[in-house]
Amino acid sequence: MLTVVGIAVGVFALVVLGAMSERAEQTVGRTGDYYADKVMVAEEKAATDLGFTNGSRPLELEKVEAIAEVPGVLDVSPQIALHLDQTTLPLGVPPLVVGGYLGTDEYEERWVPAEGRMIDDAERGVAVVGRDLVESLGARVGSTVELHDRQFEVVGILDQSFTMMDQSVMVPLPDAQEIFVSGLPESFLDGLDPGSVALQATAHAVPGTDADALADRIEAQVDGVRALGPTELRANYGQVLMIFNAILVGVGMLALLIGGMSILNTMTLSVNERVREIGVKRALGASGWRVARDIVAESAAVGAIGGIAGIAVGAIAAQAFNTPAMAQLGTSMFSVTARLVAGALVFAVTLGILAGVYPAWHAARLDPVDALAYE
Amino acid sequence: MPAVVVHDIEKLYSLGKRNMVHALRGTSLTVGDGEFVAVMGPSGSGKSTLLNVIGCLSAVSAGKVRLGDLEVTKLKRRALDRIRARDVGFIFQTFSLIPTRTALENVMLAAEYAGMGARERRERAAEILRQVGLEERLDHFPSELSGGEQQRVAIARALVKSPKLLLADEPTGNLDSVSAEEIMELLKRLRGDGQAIVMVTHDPRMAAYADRIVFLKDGRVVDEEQLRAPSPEAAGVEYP
Repeated sequence: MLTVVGIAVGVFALVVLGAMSERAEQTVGRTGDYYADKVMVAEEKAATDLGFTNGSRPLELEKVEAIAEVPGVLDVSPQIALHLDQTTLPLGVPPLVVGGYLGTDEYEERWVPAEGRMIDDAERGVAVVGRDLVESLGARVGSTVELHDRQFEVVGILDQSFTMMDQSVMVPLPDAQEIFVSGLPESFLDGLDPGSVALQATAHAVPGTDADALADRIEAQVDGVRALGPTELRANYGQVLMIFNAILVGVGMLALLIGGMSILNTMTLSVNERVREIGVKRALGASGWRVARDIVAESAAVGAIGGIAGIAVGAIAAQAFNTPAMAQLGTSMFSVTARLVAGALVFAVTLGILAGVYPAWHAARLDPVDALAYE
Repeated sequence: MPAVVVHDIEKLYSLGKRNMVHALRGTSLTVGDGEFVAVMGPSGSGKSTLLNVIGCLSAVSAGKVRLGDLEVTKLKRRALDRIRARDVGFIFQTFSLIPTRTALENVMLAAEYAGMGARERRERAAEILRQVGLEERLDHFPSELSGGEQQRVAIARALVKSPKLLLADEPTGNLDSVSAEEIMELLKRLRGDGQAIVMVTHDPRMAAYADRIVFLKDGRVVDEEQLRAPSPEAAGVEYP
């Protein structure tokens, strides 16, 4: 019984973390698709590759204009993307305030307001809220939301797109510029015109142009910028997943250790308790192989029962965690997928089988006469 | 053809580094087809060792053992497992039922090892349990049965595969005298199939059920007593 609980706990942890990883992968995967024909450009010494960090070195708009001149660039739009809330550091893609259009035609095609409308070019003080943030911001079309101590009127709410825009608030670029500049250190502010800066720019490749090659061209032709093509971007996003997967592997190893040792211990004890029974089976004609097989099967069954229990509790827990996460962060954190469940079950059964091998081998090697005489 | 021929066997085993036990010293014994032989002797005379050797549970150090026309001392382990599964039935002093299985399941397990199909196993096990008078106890676990009943399950388990040879090690040693008599009557009655029986016992009353009593001392046959007319096969057979 304790053994089953041991396995269940390991598999439970595996399922919960796996569900988090699956959820992150869904978001990252779809966001990555979006960047397939785009080049992200940031200031050369920007703090992070994606320029998400408030307080990064700004990218001057002059450079953005220079990028537009590079052959193969269809158009380029400057943006500022800032953490919505600097005090929390959620796992996965953080909620963002995004200023500036993210592309042109595709932008309109992909991000559709479920309610209200998108932002017009010359507007100020308005916002379009991503699906996952509606609840946490208490946003409705026509209501006011406070972002970085400024009031914005909500004019639209985005449809769910399973990209990072689900967790973003779009505001006009000039508003974002002001928020950004106000967050810079004094020494930076000297003579800086908020209207001249962005944090990053998205360059759209002319259809048929290799966006990775375009990124290299932009870096070569425009001084002081870093340009990331889709391959590099995906690699960057992939790092988020790699962290998740590393944690997952760690938990898996731990489960392997604890659960496996637990089964190993139980089965070894069980074999020691049943030495006589094994002797009787041998006397009745069971081969050593047959005795070993029965023990491995039993051990695998223990693994399977523990695994099923762990998956069930894990799935319930993921669901239970999702509800407050929805309410507070406005986004679900877990996704229990079929492949996760299958993987966890296979893991638990494999664990059971492996842990059964030593006691089975031990049982198979017992001398039948000694086993029969065992008290 | 005799059921068992044991010819001049030696059995040595070690109980620690310098403690070699010479359990059997040139023992010879022939058991005719369908013959019931009781083996008697003091503790440590090699009775149980002899039984284990005949039952292919234990290998000899020297000498030859034949079961029917098979020289088992030449066989590999898998073949010996097979002989135990199909041709030899064991009955132990402590019944040795598997506690987590019902009476029926205990008997069915032996049938499974003997290679019977699932349906045949169930039918045959239920039938043999009926023959030992336990038709009301099929679904009882060993802990829910009396000693006599447990030993009857064990007899059913030994007989379910209709073995050529039945080996019993003090089968009545843990039973009261009434149950013991019942078990012996049962063995006598169920032997109708023509099984040869080798039974180790301390108890002369139980040995009296046999056709012949063999006395063992220090690993050698020291005396014999013929109680009933030997079956024709058992008479005058020498090791070829």
